[in-house]
Amino acid sequence: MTLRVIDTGYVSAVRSQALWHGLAEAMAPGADPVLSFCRPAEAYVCLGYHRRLEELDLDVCAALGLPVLRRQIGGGPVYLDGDQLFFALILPRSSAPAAVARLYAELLEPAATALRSLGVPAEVASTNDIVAGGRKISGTGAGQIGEGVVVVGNVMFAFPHERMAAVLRVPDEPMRQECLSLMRAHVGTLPQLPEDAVKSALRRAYSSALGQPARSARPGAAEDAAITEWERRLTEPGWIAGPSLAPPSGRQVKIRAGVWVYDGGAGETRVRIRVEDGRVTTAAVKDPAMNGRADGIARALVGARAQREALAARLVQFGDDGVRALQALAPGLVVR
Amino acid sequence: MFTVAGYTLDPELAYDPVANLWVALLDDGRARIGYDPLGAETTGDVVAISPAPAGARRARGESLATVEAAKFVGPLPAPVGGVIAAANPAVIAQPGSVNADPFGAWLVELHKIDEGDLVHLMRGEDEIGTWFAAAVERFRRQGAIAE
Repeated sequence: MTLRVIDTGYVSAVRSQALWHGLAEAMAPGADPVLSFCRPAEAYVCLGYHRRLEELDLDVCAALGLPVLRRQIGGGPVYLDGDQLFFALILPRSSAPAAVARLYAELLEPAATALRSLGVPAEVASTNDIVAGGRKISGTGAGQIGEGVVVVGNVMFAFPHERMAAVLRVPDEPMRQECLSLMRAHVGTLPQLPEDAVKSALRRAYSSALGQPARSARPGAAEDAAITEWERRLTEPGWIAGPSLAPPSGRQVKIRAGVWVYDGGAGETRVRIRVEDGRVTTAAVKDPAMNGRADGIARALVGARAQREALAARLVQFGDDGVRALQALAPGLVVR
Repeated sequence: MFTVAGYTLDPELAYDPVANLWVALLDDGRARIGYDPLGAETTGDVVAISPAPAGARRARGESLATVEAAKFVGPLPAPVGGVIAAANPAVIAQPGSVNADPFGAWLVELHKIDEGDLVHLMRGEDEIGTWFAAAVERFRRQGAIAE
């Protein structure tokens, strides 16, 4: 067994997604694992499988010339461009850890190891973030496509936080600015790293973790066919529209694990919270029936862990008003 | 109900040992399917479920739905073949109920099931207990679940 390393260099937006979708789709049981690298030659926006197009401001995407694609792994909308190196480890389902948490632990740790070998204090945190110095430096996701299990990540040499914030559809400009502020604080880049060094380090780290020597390779005929088929599928309007989903409850924008903004409501009650490191750092509550107690409820939320039980304990003193505030907040505590 | 390795199981249900799913064989011939407690735990916090369309036939092992947890998107493999009769709208609306109440959160119902596939399921307290204890031990050895 060897680790096949497929490096396509700069490719089109759709090919940068189709590459690893196709490699996974074509993976046969017992096949050698594959580590793929590519960089998109053009900027685009990509949605996780179960996310709504409505999370994006499609007019802004069009004005900026950004294609919109959907991937068959999880996570939220992301802005992707040529300043990012994509890596994907693909292995047969039978070789992959069966538990999702274990999958990330085993298959993201080599990426963190690779970055540490280059002097970046990287670590895997909160199941599937790669962070350094408290900032997320690699977006990740995973999935099973055909018989292949794939874990995908990127290394950001630069990141236009403003553009990422601009393509999101949010209720108002203050929420966009809040998202932008959090992105600047919690999403970092690695401009000092040479691409070739990163790829070499990832190759070494995954080869070592899997106990298999690495060898450079090109996609085989079946893989090429699967990649081409995924290029077609990824650009179908029905695919881009996504699966039918339950109606959204409010608007949540997650920046990284433990950091998100939520704006939502229930009945006449509107809430907005900003969460950092799992705790509410700012809160606003509006409800005409609360007779001036809304500000007190908002103050009570600040500093609490962003979990139902913790917030309920803070709000119990407000009786029915607290119950209504908690109902409005509840959907925003399920973080995606 | 009975307990195996700290997990509570329903002996009246059948279980798919491949994907840790429970299967309730209903009086009208339908099969109702959900994650067993170990399946729910190892899948992680479920945040989205998109079922295959009603009326679609699926062979054993083919995907009944696409499930997302912890940014992992994967199939819900059919424990038995059959035709998708319904998906549970309450669970689709509240996917976290899979983790909160695995036996209450059925995901998909099949009808016209492939009876021959039932042989692959674990049934009866003894068979279920033996299989489940081994499955828990395997996951613990892998570090996938806590001791």
